[in-house]
Amino acid sequence: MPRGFIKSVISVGLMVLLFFTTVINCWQNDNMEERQLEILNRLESLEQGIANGTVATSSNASGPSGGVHGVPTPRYVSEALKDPKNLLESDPTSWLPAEATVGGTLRVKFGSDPKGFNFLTENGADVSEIQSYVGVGMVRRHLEDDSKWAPDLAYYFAEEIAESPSLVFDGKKAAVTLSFNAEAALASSTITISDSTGAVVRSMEGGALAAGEGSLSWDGKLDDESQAPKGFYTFAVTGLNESGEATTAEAVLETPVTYVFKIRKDFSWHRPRVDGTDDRYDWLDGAHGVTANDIRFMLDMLMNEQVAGAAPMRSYFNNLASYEATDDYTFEITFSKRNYQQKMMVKGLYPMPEFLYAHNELGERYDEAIIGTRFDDHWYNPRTLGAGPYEFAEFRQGEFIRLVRNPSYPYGGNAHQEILISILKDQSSWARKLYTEELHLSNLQPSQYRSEVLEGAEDSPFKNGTLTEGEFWEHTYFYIGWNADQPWFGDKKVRMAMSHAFHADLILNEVFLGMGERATGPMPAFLPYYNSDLPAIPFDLEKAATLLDEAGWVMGNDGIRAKDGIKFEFTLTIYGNSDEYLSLGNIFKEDLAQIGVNMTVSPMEWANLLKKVDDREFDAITLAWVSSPDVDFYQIWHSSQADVPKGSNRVGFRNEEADELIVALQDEFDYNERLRIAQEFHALCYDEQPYTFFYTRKRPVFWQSEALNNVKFSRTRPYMNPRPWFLTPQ
Amino acid sequence: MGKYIVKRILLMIPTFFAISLIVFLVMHAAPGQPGASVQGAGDASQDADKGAENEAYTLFKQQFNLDKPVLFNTRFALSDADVLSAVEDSMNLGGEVLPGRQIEAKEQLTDWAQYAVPGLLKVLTDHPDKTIRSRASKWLSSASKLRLQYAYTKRPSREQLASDSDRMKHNLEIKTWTYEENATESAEADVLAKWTAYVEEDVERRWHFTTGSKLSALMLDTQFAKYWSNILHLDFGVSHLYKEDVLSLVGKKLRYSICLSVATLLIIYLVSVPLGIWSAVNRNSPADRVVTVFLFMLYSLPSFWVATILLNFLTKGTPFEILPTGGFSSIDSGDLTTLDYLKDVIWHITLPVTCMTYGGLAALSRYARTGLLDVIQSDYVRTARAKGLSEAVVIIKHAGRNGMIPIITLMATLLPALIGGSVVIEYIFQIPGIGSFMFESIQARDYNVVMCILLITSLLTLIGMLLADLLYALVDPRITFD
Repeated sequence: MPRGFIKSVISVGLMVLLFFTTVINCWQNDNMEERQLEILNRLESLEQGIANGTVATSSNASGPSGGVHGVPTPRYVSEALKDPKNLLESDPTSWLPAEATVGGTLRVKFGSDPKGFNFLTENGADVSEIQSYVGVGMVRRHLEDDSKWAPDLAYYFAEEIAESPSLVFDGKKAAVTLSFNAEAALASSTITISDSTGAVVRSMEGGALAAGEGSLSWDGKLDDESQAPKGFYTFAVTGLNESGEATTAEAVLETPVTYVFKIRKDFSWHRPRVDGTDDRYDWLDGAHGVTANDIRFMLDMLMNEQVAGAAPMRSYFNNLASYEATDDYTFEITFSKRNYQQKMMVKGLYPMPEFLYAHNELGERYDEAIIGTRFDDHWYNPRTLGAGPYEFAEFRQGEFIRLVRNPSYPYGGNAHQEILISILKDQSSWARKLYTEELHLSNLQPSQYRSEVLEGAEDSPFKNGTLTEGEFWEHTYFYIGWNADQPWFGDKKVRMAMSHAFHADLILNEVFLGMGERATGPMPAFLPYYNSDLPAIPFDLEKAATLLDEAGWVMGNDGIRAKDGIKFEFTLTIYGNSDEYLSLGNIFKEDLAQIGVNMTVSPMEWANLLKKVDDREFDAITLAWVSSPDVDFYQIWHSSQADVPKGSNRVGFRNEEADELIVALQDEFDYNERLRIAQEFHALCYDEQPYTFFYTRKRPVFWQSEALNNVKFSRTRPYMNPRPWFLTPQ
Repeated sequence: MGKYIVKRILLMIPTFFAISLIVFLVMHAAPGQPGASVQGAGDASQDADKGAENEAYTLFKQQFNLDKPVLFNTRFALSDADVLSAVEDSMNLGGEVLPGRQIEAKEQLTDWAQYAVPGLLKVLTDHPDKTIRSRASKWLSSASKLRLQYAYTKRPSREQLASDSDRMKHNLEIKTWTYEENATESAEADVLAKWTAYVEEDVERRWHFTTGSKLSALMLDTQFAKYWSNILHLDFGVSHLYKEDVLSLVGKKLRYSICLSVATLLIIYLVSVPLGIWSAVNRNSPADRVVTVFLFMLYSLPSFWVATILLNFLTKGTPFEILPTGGFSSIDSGDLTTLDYLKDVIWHITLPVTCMTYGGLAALSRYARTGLLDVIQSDYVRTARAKGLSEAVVIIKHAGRNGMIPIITLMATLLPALIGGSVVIEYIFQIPGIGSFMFESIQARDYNVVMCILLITSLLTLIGMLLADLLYALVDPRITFD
């Protein structure tokens, strides 16, 4: 036998041996891992059990655990709710029906990755949705009655309006601005400052003052050089005019208002999700209760100009005079002038955990000077921390967000053991995942609705009862905006003609599959502020042609209308990533062509579109607005906003009558009067047609009929709030 | 050979620089800009008469150097008239300034920062209109700010934090040196005195430009120069969208994309090389023709369409439910053992890999076929046949080795495709890979991410081309570089 043969046999044998040992090794490894996982799972369920109170431990002395219906209302809360000054009422309806049980993993979806989770600096709808599960608000709307407010973190909310116009001093500031209006110039002047009882506490020399509006500064000191206490003050400017006669200047004062919150003592922050085995994070150990200081911290950050993203909310706090946590559970905020939206924004305050966000990763507090920049880019921002019904557990970019039930949430209304939010950017996968039951509930886009429901097979889950269909209405309205600064659209007759030429009913029913209702004014049609006496503007090309003739746009020889040598040719800018808008543009284009108007459709990517809008370089544009349930028209419709760079009055709507109504609505608190003003404004908008108002959208939703119970949708964001739902026990 | 490699590598440096310059310029020429959310577009706080500057937005721009000019900085030559017209236009007192110009003027004043200080001081001192003077005082306090050095860094050191807070204290101090339109004259004089003294004190260091400092400002105080000096420290910056280090983000996404592309490449080679050889052997037979036509049919099927069809047929129970509807692994994959995880991943990537594979088969198998056809006619193959070797040995051992040279070198040029990912496939199958990340970043104008991915890809292309050339020399002794 040749020696080569033996060598070969030996090496083949070795290889076979190696192969088998590898296989055995893999198998053993796998077994070991399996056992490890089993142990880990058991540990986890034990921990869960301890947290839920189903497993008793000797050291488990935690307070009452909030079941699915919450803990009984504490005495101090029910007492406070009887206080007539308290603006809160307990909600007669509860989140969940009596038979609801805790358990299961709810599987829902988001359409994109949230870009960070800091509630204050991120404005995306997805982040505010997470906030409503993880965070906790001061108060909330009643589930059935939008106009009433129920306690949430705060059980007491009162409004204390000053008896007379005065200025607010917070007891700290070094310089307080005193504004006055002098009819004639003063050669010399004396300023006397009185406290709220009318006693003069300080008089000082003001020197010579020019006529007209002016301002002086008060250093916040009393006559005896001591710091003035916090409170309301008034002042008067007296003096001599140039000819030596005694005269006064009028002090410009507004009526201040203080809002007082008292918050519950049984809320605590979730455990921060950090690597518990790393000593570095030891400073985060222990329980942290929610206190009034956390609300103060949130306002500190909100008012800090270095904090990006807070700007839209900050603008409502223009008249903020002072705020303070007077004790651990009482918070007061004072404004120098009262208006309606401000009260809404105060209700929208929420606590931010100061123990976490004011510190760096090693637990050292940031220097006050840079805390704003650090907060904006805080090391905890890839996660978030709240005190709400669900804890933020995990986020994997592009894959999912996992929330876990907070067992000690006092109010209950958190039936799901886990909420798993898959991130599904491809909208066509939503329907697929409903088929495979990977989603319990999802809305559908129009194209999916068409293929699955309108044109789908009879035995598909969408039709055979496996999935239940529902809907919710969004607080939005879609429109075509006419840039009044362009030569064509300055005239309201032209704008009205455009609205008559826009076949809204056809487009809504055929292109948008009837997923909505026509709107005739600047708010969703279902709000009480909506003026329902106004009929939708009908599609009528003849009327449109007549209106154009009246406005002086006469038909030219080439079949295109013209006036003063300007042809009626304009561009409609639309968002380019949507087939529906392309169809809308094309239908409109053809209808306009019939009455001698030449329209070009220009689809545009989002970033370009925004730039065009900011620079006002558009003729007409299709967009949508989200409206709050308590309407405020200032930002979008007030004349002053037409000239603000990047302002929202992008069509250049300037109307004095409208301006008066807008301002009147802001200062009006009486509900019926508010309705009247808003409806009058609506009628004015209808008459002026700055936009062709299109429709308010409803969204079709499907859910697993067997698995999910008590599905209801909120009337405000987030519409698909899962707190009333519960899963059928397996 | 060694000389050649060194020469090629040295040549790669200017090429890479030129690529980065072109990419940078094209990217910045595209309309739109990052940070729309930080700007607070359409936010009611931007009342026409409110404070000049949006501080958070300025900080944001400074952090990403977006306040600097792209390529050349000529701001030291700003005249007082330029500054004055920017201040006037930003206020639009006459109501005749176009909105676009008004926004631009505001951005200019924000971006010019310290270069505008002398001009602003002149407006503050001389301008007859008090409204404009008062606005100039506000712009001065924003323009004289010291830049924060370490804002937006995940883990700043203590020294960095301390230096930043000193700077910020300075900034907060000068922030109060402003007055309103209705301020008294004494207040106004007070502010003016403060500013005059402040500028006077630092004029040599901050506002006086010599030829040398002009030159360095011209070339070095620009976005491109700053970007390059950061790359040299291997710092690709932070994604403004996710506020995370770009390299670590790209690393996370790369995991998925590389997994998909390696599997795809492997399958393409394993299938198309034997297929090409088979075609070459049976060239022009009816079977060869059928295969060719079939491959080109596959080639012309758009992958998004195939992906949707496959998903509808194989995942949702109409009629089959054998494969998952998407994702890279199951959501509970954290609780799986390594083997089970492997199985899980393979089960998940079957469909995406199929969709990425079938289109590539046609091209590569044609390459293999022609490569083999070139050599199959040659003399040494005939000699081998004449020796009486079996056809299989002739084809695989003698012809195959030479015929597959182009295929091997092709592999090197595919290197960048490894990380390029496939936007459409990743999107449809919800795989959080580099392709969909790139797409999203372009839409949000997340410059740092786009730059980083493009630069890595072009670097890999350069390396791939070098490797291809070297492989040629390696497998074909007839080619030398000496």
